[in-house]
Amino acid sequence: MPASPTAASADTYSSGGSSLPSPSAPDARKRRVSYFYEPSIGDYYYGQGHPMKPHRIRMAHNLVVHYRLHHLMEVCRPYPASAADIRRFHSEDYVDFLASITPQFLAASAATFGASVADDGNSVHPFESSSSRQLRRFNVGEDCPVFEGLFEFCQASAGGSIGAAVKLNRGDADIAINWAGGLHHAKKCEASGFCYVNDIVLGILELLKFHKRVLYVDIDVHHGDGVEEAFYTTDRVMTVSFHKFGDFFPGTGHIKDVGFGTGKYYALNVPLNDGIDDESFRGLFRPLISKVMEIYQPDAVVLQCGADSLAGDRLGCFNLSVRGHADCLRFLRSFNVPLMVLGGGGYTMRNVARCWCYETAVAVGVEPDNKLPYSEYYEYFGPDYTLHIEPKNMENKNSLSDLEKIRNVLLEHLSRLQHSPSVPFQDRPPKTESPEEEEVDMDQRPTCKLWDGESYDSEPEDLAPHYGDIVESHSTPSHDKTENTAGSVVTIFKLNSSH
Amino acid sequence: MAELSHYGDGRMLDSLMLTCSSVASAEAELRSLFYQLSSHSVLPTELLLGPEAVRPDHSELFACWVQRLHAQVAADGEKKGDGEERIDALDRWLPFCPDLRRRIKKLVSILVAARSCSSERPDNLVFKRRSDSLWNVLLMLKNVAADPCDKAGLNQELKDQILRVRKVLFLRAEEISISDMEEFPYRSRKRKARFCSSETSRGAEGEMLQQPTRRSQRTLGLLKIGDSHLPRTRIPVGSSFQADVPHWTESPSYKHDSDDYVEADDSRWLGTPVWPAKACNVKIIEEKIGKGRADFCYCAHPGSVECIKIHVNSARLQLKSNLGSVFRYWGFYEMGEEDVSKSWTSEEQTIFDNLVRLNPLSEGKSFLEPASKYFTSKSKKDIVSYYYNVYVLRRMSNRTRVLSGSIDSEDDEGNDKAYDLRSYAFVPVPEVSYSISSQSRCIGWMS
Repeated sequence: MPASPTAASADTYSSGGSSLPSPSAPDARKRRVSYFYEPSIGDYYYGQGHPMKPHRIRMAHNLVVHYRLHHLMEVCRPYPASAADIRRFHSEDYVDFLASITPQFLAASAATFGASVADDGNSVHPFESSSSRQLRRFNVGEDCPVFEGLFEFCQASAGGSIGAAVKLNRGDADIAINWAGGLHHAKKCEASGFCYVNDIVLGILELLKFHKRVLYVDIDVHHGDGVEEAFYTTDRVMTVSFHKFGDFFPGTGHIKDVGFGTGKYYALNVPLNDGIDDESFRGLFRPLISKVMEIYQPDAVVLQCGADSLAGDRLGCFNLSVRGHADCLRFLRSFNVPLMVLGGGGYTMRNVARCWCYETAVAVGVEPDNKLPYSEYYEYFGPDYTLHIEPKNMENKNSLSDLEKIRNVLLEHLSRLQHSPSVPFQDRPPKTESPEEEEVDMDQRPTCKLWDGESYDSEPEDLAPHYGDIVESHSTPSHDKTENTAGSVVTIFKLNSSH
Repeated sequence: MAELSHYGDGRMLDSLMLTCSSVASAEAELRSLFYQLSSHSVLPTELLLGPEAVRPDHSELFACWVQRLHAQVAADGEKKGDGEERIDALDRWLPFCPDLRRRIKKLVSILVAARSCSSERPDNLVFKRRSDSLWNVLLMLKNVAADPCDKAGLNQELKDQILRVRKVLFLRAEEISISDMEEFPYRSRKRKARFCSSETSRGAEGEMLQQPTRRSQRTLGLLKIGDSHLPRTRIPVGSSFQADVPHWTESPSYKHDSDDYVEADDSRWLGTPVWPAKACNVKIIEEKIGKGRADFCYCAHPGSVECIKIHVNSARLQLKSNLGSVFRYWGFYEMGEEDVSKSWTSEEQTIFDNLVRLNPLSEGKSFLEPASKYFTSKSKKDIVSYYYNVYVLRRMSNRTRVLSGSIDSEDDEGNDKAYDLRSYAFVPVPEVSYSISSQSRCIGWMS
């Protein structure tokens, strides 16, 4: 049994997709990769029992280095983002709060006001300390605890993503990686879902200085609500999120949420159900992303690689293998558009490390051995000590017909984007006003909250079935075969067997 | 009864009696009379509606009232001849002045006459036809809902009627046809308003359109795909939610040499270049990239804790020579059991293990605070580092060997119950080797 799949097998796997040659990567395989790593990142600790463990980033880096992948890339320590840099997206008072809050301050303030704080916790007590009011206001507390070095952690995470963007802006790299980034839930004025500072938004804002259109793709099991929200009304950023939808955090990401105003149809949501496997995921990801790439023609792509969509995640409910997860990166990489690769969720540390290590390998164009090299964290990967994980024996609750419907609805959304005259895909700046906008009375646009509780349900329910044909004709791969380490040939996905 | 008094006070109703010619105005007047009377509880509803317990809406009451009056007028007509002054049965229905009574009788007879002679103009009889048929349709639907298998009562005509009713009440054609109906309330409101203004001729109908669309949640659910019937949380729009995205104005490009400002501003983001290291002159053989461990080793007990310790140490040594100073920079001295446990005495290690055990996660406790209080010489960072690099690693190692092949924990930190760590108390690495399923060249338990 060969210990390592040959380069040829890696080639076969990556053959699906648009391998466009680029000046810097004429062979359509090699990419200049920049990788940001803050050596102290693994020391930050959210608290015992908290599922978010920055230590996983150190574990991933450890594997990357033991696989010697650093020889194929440039590794930088990120410059920490300052409060002023973070304010490019976040509100001033929120950033001030994050920069000042410490567990010690919190404890001191709780001790001072402790006696007068109402017990029921929900009602705002008149004597409640200002810090606990702020905690409430900025949603800092349970999910997003105040921990030692919180702001430094945010600075490192955001600094890495902004640094990655600058690398791409300067044309110094084709792919820039920051596994400490990808904290996609953070909002402009509040923390959410273990995320305080939205490094992705900051990175994209940096990219927008030199790139007209940026595509954001999110394969975290949770909806990428923070990024979608930040760019909900612009057509300069298109967001595509694949996520579990239905009785699941954060609750946003309905298939019919498509953006607003100028940003209408520039947000795409792919709601999925429990147990989605590699094949089902790929059957949605590839056709949709192909279409998005074709229609939107982004100048740069940001991929959030939340590893909680892997099988066996502590918080997730999908059933992807590391290979299936990394296939998303492989596919996006094949378009040869400047690519930023970020981390995100992922709550079973050993699998997060596996996944991000393998994805680093995919970025540099190496197919690593399945047998893990000996490393400091070797014992974390027992009992098999392999790079890849087997999917769980669980039901895929995404029926073929559901997936087909989802795909058709989304392709229909994309077709509207295609036919919208407001989006120039030539080399000229976008018009500030679109014909669609003329219909909208801007004075009536709600300023604070769009939805005032009034339900709206009169969208067309009929779907155009013929869009399925477009997918078929657009699909490029006939067979994608890969040799797994057991030596057997597995057909990953078949789109059109007539090739 | 203030409003009614002037009728009773002898206002000449008769002069009006014959002026009303059109059926419509008769109906309108009758309606207004009815509303006036009923609003003052002059009309006992049980008299109007008979024994029916249900209480329909106002216009239905009116229809019933007219029906009853008509029946009364017809009965009176048969008994014609006794003269107008005879106290007829109508008095029971209209306990007020005779003039008003007469007026009502007249209006009713006009309406009834119009109905009987123009059955081919159903729009004149809206008050009756519609409420009756709607009532029937509703009853029918109720029966079907109660027993969907019983199709006996549903003839084609009724079915069509039901469909028409549904279309009118729930899925207005206008709503469906706006295929690009916007998801935004202000927009849909606007469309609706525009639509209504063009329909003002339809009066009350136009008003009805402005009411929120009635559609049951269940029906909505049936129309949705997959999970989309689940509650939908919207993305808020406003200056406190979206990022400020500048308009694309030009296509600048980095001018590495000429634009010093851009260079200076952005270069800090490039961070500290760590690799490739300048001082590193170790030549990497390309074949080493992406390589995993060897298929087998020559250790006495492959896969044993000792065997793995040896290989990990050798891997570290190789890496150290490969990375040079970067080995330290990337924190490899703070990774793994070997180096991190060195700074902890075995006594401290035992105490730490006990602290973790005494503060189980399952009870919402944390080892961090007690540990940092106890180990005053150690920072929280040291404690967390020990936890991940030594404690959890050892636990995983132990667990793998005790429960070989059956590890399916979703939590790397696991829970404490199943894996007793006391074996680590004074002997950090048990002098026992176990077989590892995937590397089982050496089978059995050995000491």
